Amino acid sequence: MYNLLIVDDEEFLLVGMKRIFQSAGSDFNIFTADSGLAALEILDKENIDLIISDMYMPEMSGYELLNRVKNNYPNIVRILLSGYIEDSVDLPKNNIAHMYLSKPLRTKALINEIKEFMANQEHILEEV
Amino acid sequence: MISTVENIDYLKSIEAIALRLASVEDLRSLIDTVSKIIFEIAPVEYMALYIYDSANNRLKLVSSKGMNFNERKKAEITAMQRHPGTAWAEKRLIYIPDEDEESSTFDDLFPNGISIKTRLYIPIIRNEECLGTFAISSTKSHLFDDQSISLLSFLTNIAGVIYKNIIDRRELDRINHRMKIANRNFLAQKLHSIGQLAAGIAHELNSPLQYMGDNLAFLNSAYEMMTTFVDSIKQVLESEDVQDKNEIMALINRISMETDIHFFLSEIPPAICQSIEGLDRVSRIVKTMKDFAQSGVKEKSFKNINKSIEDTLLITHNEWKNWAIVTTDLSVELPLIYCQADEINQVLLQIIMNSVHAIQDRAQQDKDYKKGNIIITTKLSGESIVIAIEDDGIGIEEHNIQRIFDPFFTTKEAGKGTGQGLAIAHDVVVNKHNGSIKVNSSRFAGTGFTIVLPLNY
Repeated sequence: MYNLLIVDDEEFLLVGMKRIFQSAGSDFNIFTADSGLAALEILDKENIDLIISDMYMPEMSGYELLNRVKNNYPNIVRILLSGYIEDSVDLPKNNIAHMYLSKPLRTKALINEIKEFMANQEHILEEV
Repeated sequence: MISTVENIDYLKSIEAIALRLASVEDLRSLIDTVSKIIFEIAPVEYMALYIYDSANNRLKLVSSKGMNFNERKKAEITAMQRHPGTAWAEKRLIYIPDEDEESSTFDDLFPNGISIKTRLYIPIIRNEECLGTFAISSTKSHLFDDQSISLLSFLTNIAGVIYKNIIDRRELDRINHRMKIANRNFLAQKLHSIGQLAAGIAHELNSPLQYMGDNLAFLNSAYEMMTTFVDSIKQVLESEDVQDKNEIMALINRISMETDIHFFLSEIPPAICQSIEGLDRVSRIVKTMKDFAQSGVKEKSFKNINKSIEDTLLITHNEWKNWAIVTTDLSVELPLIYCQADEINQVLLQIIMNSVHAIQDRAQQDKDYKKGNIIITTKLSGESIVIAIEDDGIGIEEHNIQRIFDPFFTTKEAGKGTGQGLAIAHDVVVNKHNGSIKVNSSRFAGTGFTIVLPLNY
């Protein structure tokens, strides 16, 4: 079971994603945050395995948030969501996230991808 | 003396003159045609057409025959002091049949031994206004009789009317051309801002589309799970092995747990409600975008300015939501206003976007400045609607305030601003809606625009 933190300033999007992750079985324990600052608080308290963040949010952008996660919690798997395609061209250079996805996306497909990704991660860790 | 009867016969009739002039479309062929007709009436050596130039208060020599460059130049410079000027000022025809008999009318335009005998100056009058003078002279004396003078006068005045019409049409063409350019600029600016907004609007649509898709996928899973749940219950009830009610309840509870049916049942209503809200939001954005983008409607209609403001805020939501808190105080007693809605929307869009940029600029320089404020108010003031849009952004530098409505003036870096936005806003408000647009600004304190639109004009 993975602790997954979803960050987006849109409430309905948060609950919608949470709902579909929950309906997909008991692989995920879902946390939600509606801002970068709220996300940092949760990261501080909980043992998060995976974070999915929106790019454009007030005060702290997804970029800034994931950059902090990268530095402070390097083991957390980072996924950046954005409505803009052009962002995904520039971001990989800075290794901000493990996955870059653009909205709207099929969350069910994402769930399978995440499961696969996490399984591989564990595999890699085991090998190390 | 030349017989005019013969010449009139030659021209057939006055109608012939009128017909020849009627086909004239431009200035050059008008002057050519008039010269030819005059020459056909009387073979004069010299002709000069002077047109009054009100800007410089002088008679301008626009066409001549038989004169060289120096003579033309001299004729023009001295025209006001000579007979052409007198004929023009007094709106009076001057005819001198024989110069030698009238020593007082000395005119030395041609000093090199040319002795002018006949002189005729015809004022060109249209609607009580004297447009200029037509001057004809010849070295032969007594060139015209009364009949030919009246014919020439008729001809000259017809030509004057045509001349003025051509000039008016030119002016009209110029105005139309300017309007065409202005419209093109407006369209270009509109497309520019729609282009700028497009990415933001797509983003605005992405969020509801995302959760609507998620919710539908969830509802699909919920349906599958409910089918499983119902089938399992059916199996239990149909089973002959289980008869005890407590045992049945225990089995149902187990099935409920396994299918997590309570989770699905409790989540179905919000999933539906939120999706409907998302659908409304998408529809509203798309409709507003359509209203904004339509360029076909060029007619004015009665519009609600408050709605225009709300639409503009909706369509720009993604541009300001992370930067500014927008507060509106829109008067409910605002009557509908007869206006060109797409142009007014464009003005509002321009000013709101400028506020957002001003707030972004200030945020870059001032680290303590977290979020800006945009305050929009509308009110009815006498016979006008007053719209005020204020921000607490970076403000306009004092030496630039005078220039913000100038076309192509921009302080934005190359490629960011066209310098057309506020110039067009000014044109739309002042020229097209007879209103006023004023700006108040101070550096690091903010900017306020006040637009006044009269209800009746």
